[in-house]
Amino acid sequence: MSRCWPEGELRAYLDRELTARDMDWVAEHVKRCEPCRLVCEELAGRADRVAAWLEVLPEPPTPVKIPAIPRSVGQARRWLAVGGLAAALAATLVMAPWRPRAGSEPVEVKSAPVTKAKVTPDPPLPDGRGSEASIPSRDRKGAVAVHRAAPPQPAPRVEYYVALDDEPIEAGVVVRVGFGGGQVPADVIFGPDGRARAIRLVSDILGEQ
Amino acid sequence: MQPEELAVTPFGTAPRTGEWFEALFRDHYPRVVGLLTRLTGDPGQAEEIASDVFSKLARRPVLLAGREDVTAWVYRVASNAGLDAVRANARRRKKEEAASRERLRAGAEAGALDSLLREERAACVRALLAAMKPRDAQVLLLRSSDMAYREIAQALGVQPSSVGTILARAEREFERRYRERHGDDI
Repeated sequence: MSRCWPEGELRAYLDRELTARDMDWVAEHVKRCEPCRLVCEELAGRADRVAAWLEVLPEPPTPVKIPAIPRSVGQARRWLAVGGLAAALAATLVMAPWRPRAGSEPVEVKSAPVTKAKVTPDPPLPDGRGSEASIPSRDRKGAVAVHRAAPPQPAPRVEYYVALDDEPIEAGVVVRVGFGGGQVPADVIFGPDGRARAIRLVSDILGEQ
Repeated sequence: MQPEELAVTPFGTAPRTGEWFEALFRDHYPRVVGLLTRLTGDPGQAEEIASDVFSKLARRPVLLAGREDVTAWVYRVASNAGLDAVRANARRRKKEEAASRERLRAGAEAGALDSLLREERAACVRALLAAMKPRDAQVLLLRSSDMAYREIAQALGVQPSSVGTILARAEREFERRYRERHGDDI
């Protein structure tokens, strides 16, 4: 006579959850082994009773309506990256008029002395986001207020301000750069993590005052 | 009802991208809602718990980035939350049952007796499940939802060859508790 089977295998046998080969072996064994046959009968009876008791639990509605998929962290990061890319593209488009024409001198970017500055965050836009790449009106003059330690000078007029991400700027470093051989000044605002957070063009040197 | 096959996607080994999460959600959300509906008796509450579980998963980058079997995590957290809800619902159900008995006495509802008895039996089964070890309650619920051993193993985070043993023990324990409560005259 073949070996007796453990209770777990016999339970799986009753549910036809064994491999085909094991199903045959167990069936053959149970025919000849009285103890295993009794165990099988006991397991089958109990399984039927428990199934009947659990049957009173209500069936779920069919089909179950699947709601919107919760956004995973990876997706959030991906959307943040896409948003950053879009903001960078918008910044590029805004800066396009100041690009050097063909045949002119290559663009030289001169760094002004770096000044640690406290940057007041941009007041929120009416839609509450405050991070869209947008061309501010005259009312948004000084949208990013910079307190420099440098000697007092006439406050530059901010013509264009582009936020490069959605996060508010609480503190950062402002680096004055000049495009087109230093003729087109702009401020790049870096956050504490070293990432560029915003770009603004300053027009007082453009002779537009 | 024929057992509906779960996707064969090995969620434990596939790269955990956004698409992976969406596939996990689509494949398992209806199952989780079904299990919780049977457990709580309230489809709305079941959907709420299931949504909370998947939202919690989406907010756990450590879990998503780790090697833990997320499917097992989902079923474990969902069924534990469902069992908690059953315990929390017990008091409310007693009040509802008292109100049902009152309506029955007043003869206000046709067929109210059958409905009341069925609801009482369901409440009893839920109470017994809530008092069992979570894994025993889970395996009974999953099996009674016609899940195959392979799927149950995935949900419990065990080998398929262990499911028969776990199920047999859980059934024995459930029957013992049921007889304790109702006697042998059942």
